[in-house]
Amino acid sequence: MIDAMKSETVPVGHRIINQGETGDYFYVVEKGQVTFLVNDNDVGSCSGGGSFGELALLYDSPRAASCVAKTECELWKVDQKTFRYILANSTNSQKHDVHVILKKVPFLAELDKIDLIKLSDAFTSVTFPEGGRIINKGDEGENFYIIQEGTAKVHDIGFGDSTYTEQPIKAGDFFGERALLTGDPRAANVTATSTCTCLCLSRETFQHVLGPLQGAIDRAMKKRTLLAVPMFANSKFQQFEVTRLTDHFFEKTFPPGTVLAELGKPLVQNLYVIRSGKVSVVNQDGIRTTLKDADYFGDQSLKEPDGCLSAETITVREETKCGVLAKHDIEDVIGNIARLGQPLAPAYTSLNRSIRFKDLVKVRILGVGTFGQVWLVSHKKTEKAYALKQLRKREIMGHHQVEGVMREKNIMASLDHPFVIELVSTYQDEVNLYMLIDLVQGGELFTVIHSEKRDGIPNGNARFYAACILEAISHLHCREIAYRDLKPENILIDQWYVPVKVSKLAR
Amino acid sequence: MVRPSQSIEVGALIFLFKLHVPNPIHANQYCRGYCILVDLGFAKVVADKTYTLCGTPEYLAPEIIVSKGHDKGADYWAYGALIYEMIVGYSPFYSEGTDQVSLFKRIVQADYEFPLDVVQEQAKDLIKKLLVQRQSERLGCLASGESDIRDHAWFEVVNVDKLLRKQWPTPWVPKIKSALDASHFESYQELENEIPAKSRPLTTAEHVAFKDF
Repeated sequence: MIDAMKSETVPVGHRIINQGETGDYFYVVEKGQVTFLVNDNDVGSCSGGGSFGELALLYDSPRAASCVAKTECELWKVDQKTFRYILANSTNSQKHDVHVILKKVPFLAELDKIDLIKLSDAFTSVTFPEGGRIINKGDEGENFYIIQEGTAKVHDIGFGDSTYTEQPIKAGDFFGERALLTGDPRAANVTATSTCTCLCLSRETFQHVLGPLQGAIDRAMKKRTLLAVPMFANSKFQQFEVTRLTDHFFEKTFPPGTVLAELGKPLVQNLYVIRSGKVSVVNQDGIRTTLKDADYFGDQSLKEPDGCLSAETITVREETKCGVLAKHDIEDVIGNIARLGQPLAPAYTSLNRSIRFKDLVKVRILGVGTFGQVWLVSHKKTEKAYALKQLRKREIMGHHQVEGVMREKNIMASLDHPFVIELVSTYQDEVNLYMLIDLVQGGELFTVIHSEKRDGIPNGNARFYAACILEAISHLHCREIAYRDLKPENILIDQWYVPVKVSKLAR
Repeated sequence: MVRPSQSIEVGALIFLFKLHVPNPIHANQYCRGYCILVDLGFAKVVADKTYTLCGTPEYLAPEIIVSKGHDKGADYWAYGALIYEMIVGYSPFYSEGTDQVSLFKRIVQADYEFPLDVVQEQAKDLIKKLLVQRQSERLGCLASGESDIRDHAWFEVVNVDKLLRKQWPTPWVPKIKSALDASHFESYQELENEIPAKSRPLTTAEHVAFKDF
C-alpha cells in the first residue's frame, strides 16, 4: 500500500481539493496542516497523521469540501484505481488476520475477544509446498493448524477398512485439534494440494487457553466424524440440520460381549462410528470382519424400513466407545430419511419444456428493467397465467452482461424453494431471450411497507416476512450463492388465482 | 341408529372432502401471503469473495462500499436494513435530501439510530447484531451461520417447519379477482403498444453466446 502512494509537497494556501470536483485521490498528511472549507466556511482541519478525501477511494463522487494547505504540507496520495486494485488483490493474497480466522473456528468463536487475541499471539506461520505432508497419520499430534492460504486435503482417514470421503480443505479451515486434546496418534494424513501457509499452535498453549472448552471441541469433532461418513457427506443438509444431527450423535461405551445386532432378528437402526475398541461382524455366509477405530457401521440400515431384520451379527469384542446416531433422531431432524445420501438435484431438470412459446398470449406489462420488460402472459390452452421476462440480446451484449444473464438463468433453474421464484421455462428468438416464471400476484413487499396510509408495518408482520426471507436467503447461501440485491422491491407477496371451474370439476 | 342430523353432517363432510381434497390450495388459506424472492439478476456463486460493486445504494454493506471483497455476509447486512425498514418505515441510512456520499459514509461507519419507542427490544437487538461493520462480528457470518439468526429471541415464536410447509398464519393475503389480475403492479400501459426500437441484428457469432440459454 505504502509503495503505491506518491509523495507531494504543497505550499501554503494551495488548494489540494476543490469542492464539487470529482475526487480521484486520497491523501494522508505527513507534515503540516490542512483546512477544510465548505462553501468557503471553515469546517475543520487536520495535521500530521490525519487523512482526507477517503470517499474518492470508494466512489466517483463530487468532493464535499475544499481542502487548503494552512502551512506547507508534505502529503502522501493514492488514486482510486490503484487503491481498489491493491485492496482487491491483497485481500486474496495477504495473510488473513489471525483473529478473524480464529473467530470462524466454531469452538473458538465462543471465546471472548481477549482470549482470542491471546491465542492468536501464540500462533506461528508455517508454509508447506504443494504435495508437502502437513500431518502424518500415526504421529503423535502436537499442533493445531489453521489454513491461512492455499489448499490441502485430509485423506486416509482412520485405521480400519471403512472408506471415508477425502476432504478438501481451504483457507480458514482448521484441523489437528483432536490430537491436541487426547495426545492420540493422528487419525489421518493431511497433505498440501497447493502451496499452503498454515498457522499452528502448540499443544501447551492450546491446552492452557482452551482447557475448559473440551465440550465445545467435542462437538466440532463429532460433526466432522459424521460428515466423513459418505452417506452424510453426500447429503445436502442445511447447516442447522447438521448442528442438530450432531447434537443427537451421542457417545456410548459398550462392554465386551454386547450384541449390537443379531442375524435375522429385528435391528436397532443406528449409525455407529467407533472411537476406540473392536467389533466383529459376521454376515449370512459366516464371513467375519473386524472393525476398529474410526470405522463405522449400521449406515446402510438407516434407509431400511422400520423393523427390518439384520443381515449380520455384530458383537463387541473389546470395550468399545462409539458415536451413535439413531434413525428416529435423524428423521426428527431431516424429516424424510430418503434425503440421506441424496445430493442436490442437478440444475436444469426443473424446466418445463412442454409449454410452447407460441401458446403464450401477452396481456400487459408488469415491470420494466434495463434489458426489457416483464409481461403478464396467459397460456392459451390451460389459461394459466405466468410472468414472462423479455430481455433484448443486443442490450445485453451492449452492457457486457451475457455472462450475468446466463448466470441468472442457471441459478434460477437450480433453485427449488417455496419462497424463491420458480423458473418455469426459457425461450429465445433472433432478438430476445425469454424467461417464463411463476406469476406472483400479490405485489411487492415495498408497497406493503410503504402504503398510502403509513410507512412501516407491525412487529409481528415484519417478523413473519423476515422469517420467510431468512429461509429464502439461506436456501441460496447453502448453495454458496450470494443474492446481493436484497430490498423490499425484490420480495413479492404470494397470491394466485384458482379458477372456479377447478372446484366444479372436483365435484 | 344414525340420527338424521348426523348423516347430514357426514354428507356435508364428504362434500367438502370431495370439493377440497383434489385441490389442497382450498383447504388451506394460510398458503397465500408468503414472501417470494424474485429477480436473481445479481445472484452469484461466491465460493470466496467477489469485488463487483452492485446492489442498491441504501442496502449496500460497508465491505461492498470499500471494495474489501464481499460474500454472502453482505446479504445479512441488507437483511438487517430490511427488517429495520419494515418496522420503522424508512431504511436505516436514509435521510431526506442526502447525497450518496453521505449515505455511504453513514453506512461505512454503521451510523444509524432507532426512533424512540418504535422498535421492540428483541427486534432492535437482532437489527443491531446484523448491522455490524465487520463481517466477522455480524450475525449470520459467524460459526453457526444463519442458525444464529433463526435462533434469535425475536424469532422464537416462529415455527420454521410450519412456515416452510406454508402452515403458518400469514399477516395479509392480497385480494385478487382473476387469474390475470395485476392490480398490485404498477401500470405500464403507455409502453404496451410501443413498437420496439430496431436494433442491429446479432451476427451468427454473437448468437452463439446465448446458445445455452
